[in-house]
Amino acid sequence: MKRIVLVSIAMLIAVSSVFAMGGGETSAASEYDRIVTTTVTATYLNETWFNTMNADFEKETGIHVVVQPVPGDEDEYKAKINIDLMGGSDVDVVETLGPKDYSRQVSAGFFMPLNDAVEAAGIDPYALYGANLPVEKDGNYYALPFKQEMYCIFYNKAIFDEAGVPYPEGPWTWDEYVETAEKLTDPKKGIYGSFMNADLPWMYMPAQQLAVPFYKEDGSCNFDDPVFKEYAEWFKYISNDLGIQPSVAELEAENANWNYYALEGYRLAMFPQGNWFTRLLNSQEDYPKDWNYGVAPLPSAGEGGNNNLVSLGYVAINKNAAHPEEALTYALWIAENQWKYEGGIPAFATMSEEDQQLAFGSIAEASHGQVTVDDLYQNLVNTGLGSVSSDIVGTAAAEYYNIVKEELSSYNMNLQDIDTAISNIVTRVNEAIANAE
Amino acid sequence: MKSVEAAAGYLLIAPFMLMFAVFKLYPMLYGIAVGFWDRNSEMKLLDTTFVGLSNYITVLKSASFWEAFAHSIVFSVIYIVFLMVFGFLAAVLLNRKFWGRTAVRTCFYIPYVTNMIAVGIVFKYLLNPVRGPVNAIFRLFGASGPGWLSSPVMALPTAAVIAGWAALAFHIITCLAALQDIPADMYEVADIEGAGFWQKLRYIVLPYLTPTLFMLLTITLINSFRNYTAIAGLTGGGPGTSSKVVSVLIYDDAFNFLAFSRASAEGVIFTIFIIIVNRLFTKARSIWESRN
Repeated sequence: MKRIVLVSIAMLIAVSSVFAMGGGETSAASEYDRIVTTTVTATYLNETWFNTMNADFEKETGIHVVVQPVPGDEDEYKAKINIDLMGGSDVDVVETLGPKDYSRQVSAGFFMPLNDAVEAAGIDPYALYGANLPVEKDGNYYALPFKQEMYCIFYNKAIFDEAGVPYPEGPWTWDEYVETAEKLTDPKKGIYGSFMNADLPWMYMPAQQLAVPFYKEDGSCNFDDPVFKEYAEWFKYISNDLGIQPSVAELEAENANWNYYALEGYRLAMFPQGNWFTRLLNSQEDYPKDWNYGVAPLPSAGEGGNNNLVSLGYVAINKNAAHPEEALTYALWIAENQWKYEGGIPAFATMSEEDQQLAFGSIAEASHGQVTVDDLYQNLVNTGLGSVSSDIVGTAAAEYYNIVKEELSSYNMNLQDIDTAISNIVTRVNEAIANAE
Repeated sequence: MKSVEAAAGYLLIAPFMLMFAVFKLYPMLYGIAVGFWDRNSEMKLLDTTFVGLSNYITVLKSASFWEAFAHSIVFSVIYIVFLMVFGFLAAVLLNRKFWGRTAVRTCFYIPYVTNMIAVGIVFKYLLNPVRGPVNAIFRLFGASGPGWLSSPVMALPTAAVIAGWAALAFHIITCLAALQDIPADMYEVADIEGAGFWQKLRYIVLPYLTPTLFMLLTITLINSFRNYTAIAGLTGGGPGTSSKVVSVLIYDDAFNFLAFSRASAEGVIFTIFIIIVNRLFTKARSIWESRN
């Protein structure tokens, strides 16, 4: 009898401790009448701006934000979110990783159409976001853009000074960019004049500025357009033959990831990146450096290619959201305010002078005099360039992206010629499009 | 009395059977069913369209699948050969008495209890062609050293060998146990007859160990196809697609591209292949056993 009582007590303790583990969040949330749940990559929890933003949201709306962090990098985040949503998760708000995955996630039925709710909130999203609003073929939009990332050229002033080369200024062309990079490249010192990621859109960047469509009119893959071939060959030429930047093989060998250039900045003179890169360049704590950076506009790709590349971030509401009303309040607030905290550029169709000051002021301040508000405004926004998306979009976009990256990597590593690479891309992408449909 | 015993037996296996049904059997059957439907959205399976063998035909026509399939075979062959040869040789050496044997045995066992992702991180550092210590040794001799995990030719074999190294302890332990079952007088007789090391290995050790080696071969064959963690942790399937195996393809299709039905068909086709290979192997083994 005694043994039975002891075993029962032990089991009770075990069971109650299991429930207690999951109960912490609920008790914290119970202080609030209304809550909203959101999911982000776990690193966000260490970001002061993210926590301040949520605290301000809570103060303003009385809605408590419960963050469900997802460990891992962006790819792991995407896969885990997909699994979660496929399994019927009731998390409220999801920050998607942008246009590449958006359409596929919409077609999988993950998100709620926002048209009625947003318009009922008295917002005209078409006027506010213009072409940045991600309207799908069915006329609905399932997310709101909360930031845009604009490309530009960041450069290492110390390398320019040492080589006696004047800092780059816009407007300029890719030929001038290559010419400048050649002057700066010094193999003896291990200095490369340029750095471009072994990734998209860098592997054919000027083609994207020329706004060559990724799809033909019938919806099939258009990567056999000669312009893609021309610039894929150009990328390999400036890397492997001219040697002004590390080749794909070298980057693979270095196991280089996204922050490689920050670690190797002392030997990389110019790098085309989006404005997200300022967060890294300004983070002396995480990426200490003993050189100052400058910013120049993206070079033009010639006639018809006077465009800058722009990438967007979206915030969406889960179709199975447990708190749809609060989710809408949070999503609208994020779309309007996150850029102010994150130090980014809002996705509004037009930016007021006040917005510009706010967007670039925090970046300039964090740079401690390396760049000014005017530098950023003139070289990112007021460049005289139009804008095109830096992303492949569509229901098979994520596969399209992967296939192009894989095939062009193989081409750059001399495993196949360009015609085979293009032919493989077209065959595989068309297969992916057919499957997605 | 018998029925009470039977009831007790069922009661004892019930927790396992329940867990097995919930966490293994149901997902497996559901996974197979998904391949016959067009379930690439959050809709419930039976609300989606039944497409019969369409996903299977798509997969069988896909060049990417066959490329990943070929990579899986290459990975398995290297993994199996490495484990069988080095597992056996290491066990023979560790069966001999020498100073520090326990410490050496422990060293061999450590990788087996180490997480494969951690192994991947360490090897990625060790084998980095620019900063890694392995290629630094090559440079001391004036050679640049290969791109172990970054060269399209080397990535897959290197990953297979590292995965084999991490699993080596199980082979060593099993072979060691079998070696210790060999009667000592066999060696004594061999010594009297003047047999050397290789003769003892050929005429005593190998015949005694053959059933164990067959058992190990079967397990290794199956494990060689469970290679997702090794490839994901070491190469991610790259460079390009040079080390993309079927398990990585399935993961990408399902969780990155939301093509669950196609991923299911890929999984089922590959499982059928593994079952066929395993059956052929079992048949060959029984033929060998009947002849000996």
